[in-house]
Amino acid sequence: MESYVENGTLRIQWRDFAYLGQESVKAAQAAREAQEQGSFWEYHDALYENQGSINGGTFSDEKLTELARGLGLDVESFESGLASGRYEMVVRRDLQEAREAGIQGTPSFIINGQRLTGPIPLEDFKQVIDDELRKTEGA
Amino acid sequence: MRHWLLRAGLVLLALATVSCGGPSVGQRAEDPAGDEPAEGEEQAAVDLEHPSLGDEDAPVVLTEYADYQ
Repeated sequence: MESYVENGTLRIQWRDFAYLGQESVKAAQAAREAQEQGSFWEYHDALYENQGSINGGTFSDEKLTELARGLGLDVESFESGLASGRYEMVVRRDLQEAREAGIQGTPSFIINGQRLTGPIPLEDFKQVIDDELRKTEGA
Repeated sequence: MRHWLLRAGLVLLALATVSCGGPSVGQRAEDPAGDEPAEGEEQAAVDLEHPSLGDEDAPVVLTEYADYQ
């Protein structure tokens, strides 16, 4: 997938589908705080590497701040932003728009309008991307 | 007749005032000292783009919907 991004074939867009509870929403907000500091993808990866029980404290404010500290982010700014809830609306809007687009669970993907749901083998992704690329080249 | 028309006009004016921003039952009062994000923060939130990787003009666009938990 990385090679598709690097050679200009593929653009990946992220949408929060924070539907599993309050810690989902908080984690998504925290990632947006990291985005504000130019480190969205690093924080995104850190969240996935530190998953635990659902709404069991894995993504408490303190733990989210620890992840930010571990990545060298400005913790004071991160904490105050997270406490203000300034990106909660952004996260909830993503969820609402996804539901309106027919997304019902995660992970879900839309590739040039084609929807894929559930854990998808890498080879299947490549097949869809190659097919879409051929379509655009033939157009 | 003219007096009735005047009263009806005043009632309509009062209704228009309420529907165009006047106080009404169930409407939440503004609370500048509350927990709501400040105006600048709200604007920043609106302006925050969706995280993305890759060329804006890439022929294939993959949108991922996911939860961190």
